[in-house]
This record gives sequence, C-alpha cells and structure tokens, in this order.
Amino acid sequence: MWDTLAKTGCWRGEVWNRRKTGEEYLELLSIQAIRNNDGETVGYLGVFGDLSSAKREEELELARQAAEDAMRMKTQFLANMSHEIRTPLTAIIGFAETMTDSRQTLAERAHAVDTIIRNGRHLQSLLNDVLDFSKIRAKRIELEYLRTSLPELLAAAVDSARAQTEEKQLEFGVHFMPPLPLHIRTDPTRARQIIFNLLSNAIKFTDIGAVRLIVSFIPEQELLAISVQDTGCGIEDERIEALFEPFAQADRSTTRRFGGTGLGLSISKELAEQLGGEIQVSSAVGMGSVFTVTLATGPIDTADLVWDLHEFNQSSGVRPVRTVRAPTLFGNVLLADDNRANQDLIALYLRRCGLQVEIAKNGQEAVEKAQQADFDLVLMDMRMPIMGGLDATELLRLTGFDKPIVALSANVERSDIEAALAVGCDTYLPKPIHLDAFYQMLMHYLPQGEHAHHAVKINSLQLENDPELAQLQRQFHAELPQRLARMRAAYIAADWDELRSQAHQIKGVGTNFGMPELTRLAGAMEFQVLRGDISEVADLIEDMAHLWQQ
Amino acid sequence: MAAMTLMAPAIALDIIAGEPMPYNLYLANGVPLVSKGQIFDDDDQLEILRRQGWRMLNADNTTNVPPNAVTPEDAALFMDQQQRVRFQFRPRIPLKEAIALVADDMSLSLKLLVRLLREKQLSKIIEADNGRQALVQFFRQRPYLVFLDIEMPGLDGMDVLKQIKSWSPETFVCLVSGNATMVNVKTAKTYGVDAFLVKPISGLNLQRVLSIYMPE
Repeated sequence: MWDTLAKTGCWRGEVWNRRKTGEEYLELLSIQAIRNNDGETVGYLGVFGDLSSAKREEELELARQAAEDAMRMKTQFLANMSHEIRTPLTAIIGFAETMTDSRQTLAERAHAVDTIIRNGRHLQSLLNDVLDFSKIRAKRIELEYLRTSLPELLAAAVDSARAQTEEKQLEFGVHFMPPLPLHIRTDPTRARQIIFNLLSNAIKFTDIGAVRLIVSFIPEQELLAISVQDTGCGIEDERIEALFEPFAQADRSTTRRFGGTGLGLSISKELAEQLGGEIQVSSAVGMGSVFTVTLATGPIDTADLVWDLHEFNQSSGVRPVRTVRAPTLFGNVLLADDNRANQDLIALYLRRCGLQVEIAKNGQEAVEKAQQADFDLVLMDMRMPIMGGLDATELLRLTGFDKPIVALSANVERSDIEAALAVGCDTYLPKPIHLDAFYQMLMHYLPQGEHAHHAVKINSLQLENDPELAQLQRQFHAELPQRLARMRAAYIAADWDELRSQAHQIKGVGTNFGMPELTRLAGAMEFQVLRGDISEVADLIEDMAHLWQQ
Repeated sequence: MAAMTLMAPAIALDIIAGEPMPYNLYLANGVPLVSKGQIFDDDDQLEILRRQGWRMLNADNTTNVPPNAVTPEDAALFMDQQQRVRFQFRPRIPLKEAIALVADDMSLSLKLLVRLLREKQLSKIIEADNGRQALVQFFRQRPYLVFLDIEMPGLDGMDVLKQIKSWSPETFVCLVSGNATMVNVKTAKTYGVDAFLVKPISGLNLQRVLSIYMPE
C-alpha cells in the first residue's frame, strides 16, 4: 500500500474494519496523498465507504440469477417429463380400452397386450432414470463397493445386448484385451447400469453394421476401460458436449425416431465419475461413434491379472437359458397389498405355480388372517393404509409367526431394506416384480409340489343324463392323444398355424367335456402363438399331456 | 366433601421379615400390594415393599401427616423415577412346571384363554379380571408367563407390562388384543413385551405364542 502511495500518490482498496458492535464489515478505503508544489507529501486524505451492503447486493443478484436458472431448468424438466410420461400412458390407456371391446379379434388383443407391455416397460425405465437422475442431482446416490467378478459383471450386459442386436440383425462382437483382472472393486449394480446403457444406446442408434464391446485394463492407473463401438449415425462434433446434458439427444428429431428418456447418458456420466472414471466420446457423422467408459478398479495385484481369457470368453459366449417358466410349488401364501392391480397380478403369478393365495388389503388384515390359518409364506407390501408392512411384520413376528415374510416395495434404498430386515422380514424384493427373481424367491422358500391334484376335477355330472353328449365326450377323450401328438409335431416343425388351430379347437370344447383346465391351457397357447412368443408353448403342451394322463 | 387422601413412603425399618405388616402398603400408582397383618419372608418381596411401598393416609386429620406426604396424583409420578428393584433372575422352565397369570376384564374371553391354556397342562393358572389384580397377583405368586388384555379399566395391559418388566425382565409377558391396529407395538416393544396374541384366540395362535416362550 505504501509503495503504491509513494509512486502514484493514491491507493484504493478494500479493508476489513470492525464496527462498534463488534461486527466485521468490508470497507472501501481510498487514500490520496496531499503533496505540496515540490512534490513532497505533506499529508494524506482518506475516504472510507461501507462496502458490505454493495457486496451483499452483488451476492443477492448472483443468488437470484442462480434461482432463476434453477427455475427455468425445473420448468424445462417438467415440460419434458410430462411429455415423456404422457406418450406411453396414452398408449397404455388407449389399448387397454380397446380390449374391453368384445368384438375385438384375438390377434388385435394380442397386439394390444404387447403394446401395453412395451409402453409400460418404457414408463418403468423412464421412472427409474428419473429417480436415479434426481438422486444424482441431490448427491444422494449411495455406492456400494464390492469385490466384483468382471466376467459376471459383463455377462448380463452382453447377454441382453446380444438379444437386442439379434432382433435388429446387427453384428455383435465382444473383445477382451489381455491382461484383465478377474475381480475388481466397484459398485457392480451401477457399473452394470453404465455398460448396459452404453450398449443399448449404441444398438438403438445403429441400423446396419455392428456393435462391439472392447474391454481392456490400464494397470498404471488402475482403470478398466470399456469401449462400445458402433456403426451408427454418428454425432457432430459441436453436439458432443450437449450429449451429456439431461434430455438432450443429438437432435429433437432423433428423439421421435429412437425414443428414450434422454437421461441415460447424463446418468452414466455422473455414475462413471462417482466410480472414479469418466466417459469419453469420439464420433464421425455417418461412420459411427465410440463411447469409452473408464472405471476405477481398486488396487490389483499383477498376480491377479489374467492373460488366458478362457473364463471371459466363456462368460460372454455361453448364453444362460433364460427361464420364466413357473415352477410347480406347494403351499399357502398370504399376499398383503392394498393395490388391486398388484393383488391380481401377483396372485396370478402365485396361482401359476400351483399355490393357494389369500389376499389381505392391509397390514391389519394380514395379521388377523395369519392368526387363523397356517401360511407357508407371506408377501408383504411395505406401504399400506391402516397398518403398514413394517408394523405388520413386527407384530406378526411377536405373535410367533415363524414362516418366511418377504417384503415387497418400490423403495430400494438401503435404509428401507435394512428396516424391513430389522423387523423380521426374511428378504426384500423390489417392485415392480421381476418374474425371474420372484420365482427364484418362491422356489427358495417353498417346497416343490404336485399342482394338478387340487387344480382339476373332471366334472362329468351333467353328462350322465345325456347319452349323446357322453358319446361325444368319449370320442373327444379318445382323440386327445392323437391331437397332442399333432401339436408336438407342429411345435417341432415350427408350424405355428397348425399349432394354433389345434389349440383353438381344443379350447373350444374342453369345458363342455368337463375339462375346463384343458380349455384354459389351450387358450393360453393360442394367445402365446398369436403373439409370436413361443417360450412357454412346449411347457403348455406337456401340461396338457399331463392333465390328460390323469 | 370427599376426604382428601395423601400418601407417604413406607418406613423401611417397620417392614420386617416374618412379622405382620404394620399397615396396608400400596404402589405409588395406588395399587394395593399387601394388607396390614400379612406376613412376608421372601427377600425380593420385602425389598420391593421397603423401597417402593407407600402408605395411604387419610388427611382429614391434618395433625399427623408426615412432612413428606404427597397426594396420590403426585405419588403416581414417582412410579417412573423411583429406584429400580428387581426380583432375582429365574430361567424359563418347561410349560408343564410353569405358573401362568391371565388378566382380562371380559370374563368370557378370560375363561376361553384359561381353558385353552389348561389343555397345555400348565402347573397352575391364576386368573385376574383387571390390571390391579394382575399386578398384585404377579407380586405375590411370580408366574412365569403372563397374558394381559390390553384394554382393561384402571390399569391397562401396557401399564402392567411396564411394571412387571421393571421387576422381572425375564418374565414372559404376552399382550392380548382384539384388534391388530389398536396395538402400539413400538411402545410395547420398548417396555420389553415378548409376544402378542391377536383375538380371536385359537389353538393355532396360542400355540405360536407358546413356542416363543419355549421352542419345541
């Protein structure tokens, strides 16, 4: 300060001062040297000004701008969300309404059901994305670092990508660049989510050509690099930055063409950064893009690096048979859920496994019903009116109920899960129900059992009085083995039309001849074949044969 | 005009093993625990009477009131603050040797539970038709299992649970309720409840509760 004063004769600056009240404030101080004609300094003139209010106003202005920006973001976000949600919802309601029309053909119904499922799944993924996104924004995402098998981590993503590429008739390649660690330390759920996301993006934006997954390891930095390379439409350089903004697909028109929430990349980027890595993109319009995500692996001993990629190749090559076939189980299940649609759906899943289902509308009913009957398993929704799942479980355990209780909830925060386990739930299943996990859970807790013995009773009472009908019934029964054989042959020959027509005929008469269960199975088969979903058809044929033998 | 009643702490020196009680003694909440002239020689019981016993004084005659006498309302406040005294620890014993106490103000449901318990061949079943009686019976007979209806006039199941658990945390106490939502499970748990029986009582839910007491 003195230097400046001596040289220029004046000084301006901000100094901290203290008021008589003890409060500190920022003061604008300007000092002017008063010099005589010879240039000698004879005195100084100091002018003080209180800066604190000016400073505060400046801060207020900044805060106001930030708030306005946030407001604009929020409005934009809401506008986007309402559009994103409305579109699939309209389709769901619309197609569901058409199904109430009794004149609709089976084919139209099958189409409607598919549309409803597809749009419902889309809504579900949208919600998941939004949830993740808001958690990331609020810095509330909890990472769970675990020792994770790399082949297993990749297998699931590779599997689903393979299925998607087959559907679009794209080539799909997986390349492992040795050496690779067998185990890394990361949050497997989140890491899988990123890989999954990059792969499905690549597949979505590629119409012809190939999608490749390239996995390598950078030992010096302890980073795993996973690249997803596609031959898709590519992205212009100036748009690459905006890619990671929420709701920004490269172009509004692509949104319409490709769908999607536009949140995936922005979530993936945040997740990658939280997992100690990043996402990089390089792209050429018309040629394709490469997205590379790096993930911190934690310290890896050189001895743990694998050069022989047998294990990796096996994990990516062999596709586990995905089975959603209902197991045949035995037992009584108490289902507590206040939502009618959930009751129906879950009860349907349970009955398919041959289980007896009792429904409780809330926790109180669940406790009361469990007092009067022995249930082998309780499925307990967590959020219910009158008495919630946590309280009901706690009380049930205190009444000495010692059979498994499975918590069902849309909340998958660790604290929710821990609370459920603490009051006495055996396990926790997220909603909406994932059928695979659901059946696995059932198989874990319930014994395998015969399911036909209480399901079917051939009802032939009214036939006794009508000899003509009885004659027809004998004929139908005599024909059945032959029909089953034809259905088996049609299935093996993939002759879907023949299979469908057989199913259709059986469906029409089964009930009349005292076999309502046969009608049900045949109806289910006809529906499945119409939808082009043949995964359960073979089982249905065997179920029919089984039923017949009885 | 109703007579004003005051309570004063029992005088510990007056309570002597093997000798008749010099006066009626009450818990601070007014539950009559022992009557004048009864004889006790159990150390645990004597200790409780010495530390937690109160005398009921009729204060119409204000000349003889001890200086530390308080009104029953104030005395009840001492319940939660008074020094803990507990019965000696006893491990659970098989049902066939155990004594049970059942308290319910509705005689029909009391009889039903008692009848169902008889089928389990317990060594003895004590009946009480309100909370006060239940507490007194517990103090005198120390049952191993206690079944308390939650809604009882005067002292309710929760109050009795609290007092029993403070004397004897290892005693098996089961609350009985007519309605699953009327139960404040959280509060009962903080007092240390062992089990709940939700009415209607059947062989099934009683058996479940008994297997909490002693797994088969």
